Amino acid sequence: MRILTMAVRIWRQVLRDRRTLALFFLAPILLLTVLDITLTSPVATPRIAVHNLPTGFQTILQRYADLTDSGSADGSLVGQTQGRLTLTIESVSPSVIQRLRQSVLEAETVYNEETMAQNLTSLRGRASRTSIPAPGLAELKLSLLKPAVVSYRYPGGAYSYFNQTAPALMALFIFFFVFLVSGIAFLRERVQGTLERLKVSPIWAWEIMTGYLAGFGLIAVLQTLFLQWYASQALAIPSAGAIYLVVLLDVLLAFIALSTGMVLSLFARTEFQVMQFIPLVIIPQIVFSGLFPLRTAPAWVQDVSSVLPVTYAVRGLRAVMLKNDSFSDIAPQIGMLALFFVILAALNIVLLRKSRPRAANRPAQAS
Amino acid sequence: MDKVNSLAIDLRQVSYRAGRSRILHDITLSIPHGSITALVGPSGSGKTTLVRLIAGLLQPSVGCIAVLGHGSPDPATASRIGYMAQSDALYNELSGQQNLDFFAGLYGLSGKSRVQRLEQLMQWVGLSEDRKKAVWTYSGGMRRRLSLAIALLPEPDLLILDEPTVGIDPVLSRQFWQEFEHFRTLGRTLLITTHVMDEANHADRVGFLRDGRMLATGSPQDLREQTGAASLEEAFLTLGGR
Repeated sequence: MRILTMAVRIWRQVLRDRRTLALFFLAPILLLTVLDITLTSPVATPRIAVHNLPTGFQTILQRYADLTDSGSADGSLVGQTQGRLTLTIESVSPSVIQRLRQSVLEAETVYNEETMAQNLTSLRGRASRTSIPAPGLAELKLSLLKPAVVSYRYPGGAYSYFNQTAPALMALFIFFFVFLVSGIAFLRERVQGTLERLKVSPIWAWEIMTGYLAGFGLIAVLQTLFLQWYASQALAIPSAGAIYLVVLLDVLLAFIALSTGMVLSLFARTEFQVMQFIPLVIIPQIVFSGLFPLRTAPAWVQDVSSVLPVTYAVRGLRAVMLKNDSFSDIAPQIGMLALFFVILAALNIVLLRKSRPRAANRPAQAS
Repeated sequence: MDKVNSLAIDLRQVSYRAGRSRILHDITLSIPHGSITALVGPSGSGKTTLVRLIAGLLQPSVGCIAVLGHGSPDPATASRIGYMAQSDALYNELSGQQNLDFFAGLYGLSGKSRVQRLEQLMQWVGLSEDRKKAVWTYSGGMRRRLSLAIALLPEPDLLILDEPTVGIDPVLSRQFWQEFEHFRTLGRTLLITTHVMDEANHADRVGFLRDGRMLATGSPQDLREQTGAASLEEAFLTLGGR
């Protein structure tokens, strides 16, 4: 009952504060949309300036690149003696450079294949005039590898870079906004003196904690459902997995964010000081939680990553949202998140009870 | 045991330190039920610390404290104590009604009795018309009245008020004291800190606090007679208050 009273108060506070509401529901949507636009816009066709290319090669190259004059080119391709080409790169963008090299390589391959086929045909023409039986074209191709048949273990087919990032972004949004809002809410509780009032009222420390969890837990559930709905409807981000698993992971993550915010707010005296924890708590989670690939990162980075709760949420969300993994597949991640939460929640209750000291005081001796 | 139970507050040789500095030295104080006690002293004398010790927010370094016969706070005692700190301790973004409603829930009031109690309190502190406005729009006096209403919510047997009249106008301050006297007639116990000597004259008992020591305790009349002073202020100065 008192837990519900605490939760209702938190909902009322959030509902009466439009900015906080916007922070929870509109800010993530704005960020997702902006990132969608940036990350999914296709890489431009590379522009190449050409000079002195072999006959026929230029026509093939045109299929893979735009040919321009050297002023606006990403790189210039010049034919040298003995069929050698030199590619001089102008662009500094890694993705453009990659596309540029790929275009040239592909054009070269096609050109070489066509040239070889032509040579073979003329060879066969000459061979038919002698008595040596020439190998057929089909016979030659039999010994070559056929292109691999590609299929995906998960439904929906290939994901874009943004699709792959979206689960990580959602986890980070939940963690960041719940951390910030609950940290500041709890700091205010302390600074404005209402925590003192709670302590003299008949509410136990664990009830305060559970009230906060219930209050922000429901907000996290609504935020998750809203984000999922927006992502699938407006951004066409596929979500393969069960929604209840997404909600479960997000709520656990919100609980961890809340407990972290509450613990750290004890070390702050002003709201600005809560904000100062952002570079310390949030930035490492953005960088090391799996938003950016860490497979080839140094070992210490992977160690850091493995003690960050967001890492496990991102892994779990990716598995559920992109690969339709089941509860048992993501049980290790859920277990780790639950462990983080239990440790932080226990720490909070200890810290809350610490300032409720009369329990340790003996009753006065009657004389 | 009888002696303990007949006292609302019983402090025996209580000292309190924060780090190296001693905030309170060897305080012994017995407050019977149904009385008003005023703790008087300049700022920094330890009034707030003493009140926080009694409210259970701090633990004494030395000595024993019993409040309403209990040494340790349990939900049963907690709902018999009303506490109002120096800060208003309100949720600014909520309305006055929502603030009161929240604490009513914590004290286990529900249903019809909750609605009635809220209405009664809002009327009593004169906030009925403004009960739906957010607290941040309230004036200082309105905030103080709402804060007092929250302290009164559980109909406490013991009401601990830390500087209840600081920053409010004399009319409201007089109204507060009239209400305090009304509570006494209902058999409730009040412990009030103040640095206004005039207010202390309304109390049954006065405790003079200076530099963390209790200089004297007694009725205002006793203290005046004891020192041969014409006013409480003079008595305080004579007793070493400087």
